Amino acid sequence: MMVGRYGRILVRFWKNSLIREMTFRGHFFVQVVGEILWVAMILLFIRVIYMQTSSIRGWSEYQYLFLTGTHLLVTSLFETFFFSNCWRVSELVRTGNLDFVLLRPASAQFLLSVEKVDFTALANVPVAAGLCIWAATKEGVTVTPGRIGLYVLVIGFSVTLLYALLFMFATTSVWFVRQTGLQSIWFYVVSLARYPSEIYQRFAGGILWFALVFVVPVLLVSNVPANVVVRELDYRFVGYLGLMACVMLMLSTAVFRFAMKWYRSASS
Amino acid sequence: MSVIEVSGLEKVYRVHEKREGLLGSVRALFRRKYKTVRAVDGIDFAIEPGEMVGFLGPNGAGKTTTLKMLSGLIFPTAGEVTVLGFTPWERKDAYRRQFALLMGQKNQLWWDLPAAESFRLHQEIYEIDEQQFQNVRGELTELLQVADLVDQPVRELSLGERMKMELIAALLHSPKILLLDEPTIGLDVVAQTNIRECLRDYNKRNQITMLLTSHYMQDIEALCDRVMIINRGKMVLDGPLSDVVDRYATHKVVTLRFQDGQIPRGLEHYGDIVEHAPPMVKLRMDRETVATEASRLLSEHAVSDFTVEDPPIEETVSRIFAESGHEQAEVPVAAS
Repeated sequence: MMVGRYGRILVRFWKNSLIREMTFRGHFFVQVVGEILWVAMILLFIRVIYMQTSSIRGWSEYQYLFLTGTHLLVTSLFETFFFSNCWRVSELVRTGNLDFVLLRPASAQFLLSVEKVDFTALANVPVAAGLCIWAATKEGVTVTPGRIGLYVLVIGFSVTLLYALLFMFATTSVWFVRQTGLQSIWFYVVSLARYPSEIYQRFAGGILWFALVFVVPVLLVSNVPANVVVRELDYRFVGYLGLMACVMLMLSTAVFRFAMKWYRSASS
Repeated sequence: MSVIEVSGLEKVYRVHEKREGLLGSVRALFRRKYKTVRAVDGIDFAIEPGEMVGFLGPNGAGKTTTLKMLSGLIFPTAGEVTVLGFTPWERKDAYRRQFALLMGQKNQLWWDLPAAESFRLHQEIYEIDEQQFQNVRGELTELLQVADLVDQPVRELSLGERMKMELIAALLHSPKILLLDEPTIGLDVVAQTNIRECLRDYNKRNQITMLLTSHYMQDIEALCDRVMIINRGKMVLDGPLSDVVDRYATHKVVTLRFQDGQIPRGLEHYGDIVEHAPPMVKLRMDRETVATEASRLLSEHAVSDFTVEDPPIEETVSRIFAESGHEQAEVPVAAS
């Protein structure tokens, strides 16, 4: 009953986003072309690196390409469903338009988190999936349906974790009012999580590795799912990522509820 | 039993005092000065089912803050509020299904989509039965004469049309209580009248309880039998609209038209001349002496037409605002 109702709200949000997106066709095409060029540049960058070496800390070129595809998949899914919603929180707080979300007889966190869908980011998902399939085939890995199922589950954990972290950060705008640091935070996440986690383990990088695995576990979001398919399956990390996703999701709800007691509702 | 009960309601804000200039801003980075603002300062009132109450006060008096506490958007510093048996800031779904807040300066519809799409979204969120949805939508689009506009993107509508759509969205779930914050602000006279008529009609048909803030006294006069006047967070007056004039108007306005078309000299002895447009003149006369002064004037001059009226309500209300601003304690609070 409850799931059905929220499901219907979600479908309505998606439908509205799609109608809106189709109104601005030109914008959509320019964005998609821009995204594809960006992916092409990253692939070229990887090719250039592997012209100098055959392996980076044990990662072959195709494994690395699979990691890149997975990273693109995770970040695109997050951007499609959550980024613009998290980004909007600060604006809604500053203008007082969060009022309308709080007035509704439904979970305010749900309504805030899923209202908009960014279809330009969604266009990257098939590109990412294609890159993963191609890289896995070239690498010669044999994938079982079980392994694919696990990969999809872990991707779910990763997107959930990213959502919880970014939403929690966005929620702080209730205290800071203007909170546009979200874009920078997301840029750092995307930049840092793109590489094999092993490259951080040497020398001083160990501190960074520890911080990005155990404090703000963003390094796991691409590495753990990629490892599931093209490298070693380590259940400890899969379990840890799942646990962190659940813990952070619950924490984001607690932080949001607490923050809403402080909401001042900018004047009309 | 009252549907809204408020007692000792207070909201105190701690506000950062911004110093002037760049240097002030730099200093404020390290050390901030705060001041305490008592937006709502211990008000009490009760509203009965089906009542339409006007909530008046100058800018910053605490009207919007009170409405926001009634709708559970913000937490009070002190006091008790019960609306339909609920404490608003607990934000229970059962409560949120039964009221609506319409804000004239804020937009809740999807800007780039037709209002019809936002209405459908409301239907899902409020779980409105299809039949009821169609009935209410049909009734309101007809009342507000916007049936042909619901499929146009909201951004292409005029301000008045948009406000009508906002009103429909607010009423779709058939709330028992409607809180309206400046619903006609910035609208032209036709749109204002339309919205007022719709609200009056809707109240008559559905017995909805309304609490309305507005800067336009016409809104209040057309819709509300009772007014509450608030200033600097305190309740200044709560009672029938007619009381405002009876208790607070100090004078009457007398309009005279003279037979020969000439306005005689010396009229200032009877009262203050507020308008001089031969053959007509308007005098402001003291309320207590108006009867004797007017009959003396009529006996001494050849007057062809003569009316005595109360001063415009705006004038009386702004006098109450001004008085209560300076000498809060001296203005009596009438019982509701």
